[in-house]
Amino acid sequence: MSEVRGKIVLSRNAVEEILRLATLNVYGVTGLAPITFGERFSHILALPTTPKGVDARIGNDGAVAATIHVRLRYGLRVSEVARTIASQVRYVFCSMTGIPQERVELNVIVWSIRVEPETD
Amino acid sequence: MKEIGYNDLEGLFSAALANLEAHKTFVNSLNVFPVPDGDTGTNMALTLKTALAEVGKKKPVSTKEFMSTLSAGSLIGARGNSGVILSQIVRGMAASADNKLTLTTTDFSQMLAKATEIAYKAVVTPVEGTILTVIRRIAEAATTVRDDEFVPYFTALITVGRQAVRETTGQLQALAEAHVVDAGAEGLVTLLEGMLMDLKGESAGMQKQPVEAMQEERLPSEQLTYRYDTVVLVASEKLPSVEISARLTQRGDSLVMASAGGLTKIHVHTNEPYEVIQYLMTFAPIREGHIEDMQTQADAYAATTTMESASPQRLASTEGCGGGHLEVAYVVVSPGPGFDEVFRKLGAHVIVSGGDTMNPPTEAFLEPIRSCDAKSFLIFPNNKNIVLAARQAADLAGKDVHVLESRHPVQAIAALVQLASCGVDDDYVATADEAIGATDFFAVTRATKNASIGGLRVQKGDYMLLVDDKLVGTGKTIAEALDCLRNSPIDWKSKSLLSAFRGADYDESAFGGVMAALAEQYPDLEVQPYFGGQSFYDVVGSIE
Repeated sequence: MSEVRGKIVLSRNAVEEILRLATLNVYGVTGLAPITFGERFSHILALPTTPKGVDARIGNDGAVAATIHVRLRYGLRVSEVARTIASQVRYVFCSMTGIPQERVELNVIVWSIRVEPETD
Repeated sequence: MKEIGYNDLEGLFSAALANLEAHKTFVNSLNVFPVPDGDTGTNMALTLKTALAEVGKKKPVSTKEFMSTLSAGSLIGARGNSGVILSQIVRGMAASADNKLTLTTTDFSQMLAKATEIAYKAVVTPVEGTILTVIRRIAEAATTVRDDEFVPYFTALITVGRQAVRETTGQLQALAEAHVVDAGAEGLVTLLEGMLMDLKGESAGMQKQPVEAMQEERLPSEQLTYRYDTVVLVASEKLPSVEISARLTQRGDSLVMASAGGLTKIHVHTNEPYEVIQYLMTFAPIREGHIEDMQTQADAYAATTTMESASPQRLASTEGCGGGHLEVAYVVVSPGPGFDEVFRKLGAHVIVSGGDTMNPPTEAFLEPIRSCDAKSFLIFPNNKNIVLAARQAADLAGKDVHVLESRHPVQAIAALVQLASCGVDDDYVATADEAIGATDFFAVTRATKNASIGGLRVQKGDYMLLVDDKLVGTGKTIAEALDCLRNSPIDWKSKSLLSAFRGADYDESAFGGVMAALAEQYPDLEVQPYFGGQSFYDVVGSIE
């Protein structure tokens, strides 16, 4: 590969967006949770908002630490879904960005469980 | 059968589990999406196993109770992503089986529809080309199957399911790149197939499916260009994956590599599993290996050979060690039964099976060295890829062990002949080394692919003549290839003996004819034909 001058910067916003999309693809995740004050306020008022759900920090050394707040569907084994989020999101994120897996720390917080009436 | 009662259900689901257990390794090997961790089959099986254990505990007495117990059990037992999805499928089936005493095919169709609905609800953005697609397709087809007999009904569903599984390859890029079908989808249809076997009264997992149907079903994208399903677990997470995939895709297809927890799993379909293993061993030690002949996959268990189970006792014969204390014991690696015999006659004490087709593990050397009463040991690895295992054994043995640089069995023969005339005070190692260095060896084998090596063009199927491991010439027949010996850089004037060993697959009379021609061609040489019994090489030999 030829040497390229310059650098590639991945913004926090981009990192969060990738994590968000990857999380929504995980089986069992019905949505992301509101995390900022404004979002929660809107949530209480039942205003239509798209919660951010992901809070990512990028260290000076390029390591990524993120917390993902999710809502899961009722009737699933929460521990397994959370584990799947951790591994699947990490895998997708790392393969998209090229950041090695050991430099990505992911925490998953299950914010709520969504129950839907099951009609026969 | 037109109706299924609660007491039939346990057998049905148990058969589904048994069939999945039987094909677990295959399902695991497919796993590339969404995370290539290679445990989809295991996870699905464990999920269903826990669910059935729950049923065993509760002993349900109605269909409703059975299904809700199974559903609760699969929920608590859900393992991994595929297990979670499976638990939702079971949950949906249970929700629909409510208030039913016995189940008809119509009931079953409704259960599948409900399963699809519930399973889809748990994901925001369903991805096509997964287990979800397949359960949906099966459920859709179920509504059109108007057969109240369960066997034809299930047969029809499985046909649709198999087709849907095949199509997953094209629906997801990750699957298309790896030329595999979705593992979860394959697992689901495997479960249904187990159920069908139970309905037909066959025992799941052991059932012999027609080989052709099997191949077509399991490997849709290829007509078995590559025969051996090879899975190797290498003890390193940081392998040069680009280099490895470039090399392995030359030798096979369906390559899947996945790393986790300090290990890398490499899955490939190839005709040369031994080459793959040898190659991978140059990067890191092999933790586990699994080779399966897909041609005879019908009886999956019988065709499965795990390298783990190959015990050193079977790999090594120590019959030369029986005669009390020895000054020096010769440990020789032999590629075939003919060579075994020759080595035994020449006084080898320990014979270890191995060669180009199979590298013996370190234990194959260690075990006999530990059990053999000798002051010192000489190991003839007889293959450059075996030297490492032999050296490792030498380090671990805690005895005086020398590993010689013999790259070919014929060199060991020359050395053993020299050693036979050795006195007690002579330097065994120096004598052996000298004999090994003075022996040129040659081999004839078939090219497995088109290639251009050192300016020589080789066509697949041609015979190649290798002298001292270098390609010297090619020919359409073994005789033609051997004829190229005269182009080799051997110093013929100093040579007097040509020994040749016939491979296991080479016809004896043809070999005799070729040898007679060689004797005529080189009147100054004494030509000695033997039976070697080695695989892969039709003829190997030495010139000394």
